[in-house]
Amino acid sequence: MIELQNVRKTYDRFEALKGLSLAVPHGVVFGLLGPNGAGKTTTIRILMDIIRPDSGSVTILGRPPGLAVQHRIGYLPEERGLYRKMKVVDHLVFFGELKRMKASEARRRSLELLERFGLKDWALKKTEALSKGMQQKVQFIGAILHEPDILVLDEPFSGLDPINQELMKDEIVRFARAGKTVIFSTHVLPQAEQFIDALALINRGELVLEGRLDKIKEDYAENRIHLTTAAGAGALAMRGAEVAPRGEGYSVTLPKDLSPREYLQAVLASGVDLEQFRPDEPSLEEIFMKVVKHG
Amino acid sequence: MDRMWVVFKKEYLQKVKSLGFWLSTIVLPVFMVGIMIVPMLLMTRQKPTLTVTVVDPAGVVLPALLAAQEERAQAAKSANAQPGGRSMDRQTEVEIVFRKSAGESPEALQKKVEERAIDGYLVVPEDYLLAEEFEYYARTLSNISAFAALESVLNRALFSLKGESLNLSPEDKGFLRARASLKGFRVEKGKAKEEGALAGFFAVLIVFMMLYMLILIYGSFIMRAVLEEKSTRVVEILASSVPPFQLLMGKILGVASAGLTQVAVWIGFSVLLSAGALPMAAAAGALPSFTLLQMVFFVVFFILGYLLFASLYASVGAMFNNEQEAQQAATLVVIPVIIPVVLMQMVIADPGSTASVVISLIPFFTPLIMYLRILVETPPVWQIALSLVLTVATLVGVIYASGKIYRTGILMYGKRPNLRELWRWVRA
Repeated sequence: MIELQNVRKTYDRFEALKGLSLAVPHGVVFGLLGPNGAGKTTTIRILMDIIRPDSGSVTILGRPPGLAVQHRIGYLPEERGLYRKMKVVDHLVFFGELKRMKASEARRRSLELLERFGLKDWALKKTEALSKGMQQKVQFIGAILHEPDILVLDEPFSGLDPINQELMKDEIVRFARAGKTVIFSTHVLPQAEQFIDALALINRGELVLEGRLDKIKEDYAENRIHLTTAAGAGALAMRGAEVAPRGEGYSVTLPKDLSPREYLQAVLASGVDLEQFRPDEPSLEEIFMKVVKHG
Repeated sequence: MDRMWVVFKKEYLQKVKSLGFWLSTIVLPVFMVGIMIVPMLLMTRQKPTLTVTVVDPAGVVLPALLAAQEERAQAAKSANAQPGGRSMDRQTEVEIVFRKSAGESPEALQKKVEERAIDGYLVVPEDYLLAEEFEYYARTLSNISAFAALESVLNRALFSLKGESLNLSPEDKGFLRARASLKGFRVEKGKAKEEGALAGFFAVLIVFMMLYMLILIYGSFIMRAVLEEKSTRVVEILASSVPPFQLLMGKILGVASAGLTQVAVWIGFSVLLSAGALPMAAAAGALPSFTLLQMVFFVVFFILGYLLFASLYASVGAMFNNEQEAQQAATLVVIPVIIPVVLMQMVIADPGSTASVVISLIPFFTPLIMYLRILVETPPVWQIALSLVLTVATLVGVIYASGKIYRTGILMYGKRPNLRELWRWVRA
């Protein structure tokens, strides 16, 4: 579907990508994750044929990036903007035509989508009259207007309030459920974790981790549970368990040979009242820190 | 090149649909005619007066000066009544009020001058009929038209005094006094056509300045458009959907078409006007008429000049992040457009001179200077052809280089490139 093989890109003396390889399967929400400066935007710009890699190969829908596939991709750049003096609907029609839509078709779909995003009354206003959040919605409409097979979003949540972040999330999931592929980048891992199917973690231009989220979680699962109790940490530290406060309760890491069941029985037997307990999966952030430190 | 037309259409419609476009369509010609005519009107409305005390112990010259001033005012009035022609005279029309000196000392007169009671005083020498110089004391001598007017009145007065001393009759004086003026005929294509010299000059000036403004204004539109795309970051989406060269050309041609639309409106109107109200004035020779060929060349040179400067402006826009930063480099781009305006007088004075020919063949000056030469005196065909070939060749080079700079520049933020980096972009 989308594949990068040993892609390198250097700006002046800064190596933005040091031989990055990754593959995005079809029909998933794919998170391109990593801290600031990891190379996410460079990767996306290469996919969008805005910049060319120094070496390595890239294929999208079986072709190299370029005009032949561009119209099948929708793109929301990290730095966003619109022509200030253009009317919203004219602007969307322009975007649609750039992606090979007919003007009439682009207009019909723009109005439809503007209505869905609650911007129907703004269609004939100039874009400069829109709030930042509204402008971002217009840009998102511009990215999905031509019903692309792949949607590429660079930091789609930045600058959005919580309500619009939720809306964006729903749209991304809706798009993927229609059998299409979404690639989005973010440095906010906890948010991404909530709805991605697969991911690539990159750091300093190199791939750190790649795969399906559930598989990765499984691989990095530790013998750990989360407990909520009125009792103190001291009451939980038994049989070699390490106890650390976390949220409303405690995160308890067990020695390898101790099963959670055995531990819980021992705790209950000692007379401690447990309000809640659940297996504690590692967060993506923890996995990232772990991999970066040890790898 | 299919994406280019999408950009073309958007640029064209956005321009033509804007209020500013139609306002400038109306305002620009009115403005150009205005800056030519308003100073002339102001001159006639507001006659400067000059109060001069005449130190004339014999008391002969002052009456002659008063008579000469009166005579001169009459002559100017009748000249202004004629259409066309001698409107330049209006500019030298200064009213002079002569006062008799009360026998004050030079010191007292100088004090009066400094206190602004009078503008100056004129000392009549004893041998005034033979004197080659009259002394004139004033606060300022830099008002050339006042100085010239005073001189002219003085000489009229002396002429009549000299005539009296020779005992000439008024008829004889009139006979000697009468001057001949030139009546201009423009020779072109084996035909001679009467044309008011000044009307012709102003018409050339107006058309020349319109071409100049069009090239400048539309060229800078491109820079502003590129900067807007950079600062709003729309360019990211554009660059991912359109190859940069198509984007650049779509933009340049779209804006050019808007400019041509404006020119078409103007030509349409001037044709309508000359078909309606103006043929009589034109026949009288007061108005110059432009030939079809001159109009065609206006369009040709607008396109060439615009394309040259628009490409330069586009690369300037691509190199910088905002208008403030781009301003300095934009000034550099403007210089080759301004130089022809500075040289205009020289070319009008002698359109066929070696200097004029050479300047008109320099590609960046060709659109304005060659067009000026065509307006003033049709140059040999080979010179026009050569200038077109040179300009088109330069244009190809400039568009190529600008395309390269544009392609790299539009996605660069922050640091602006130095010359070596620019050269690398061009070669890339």
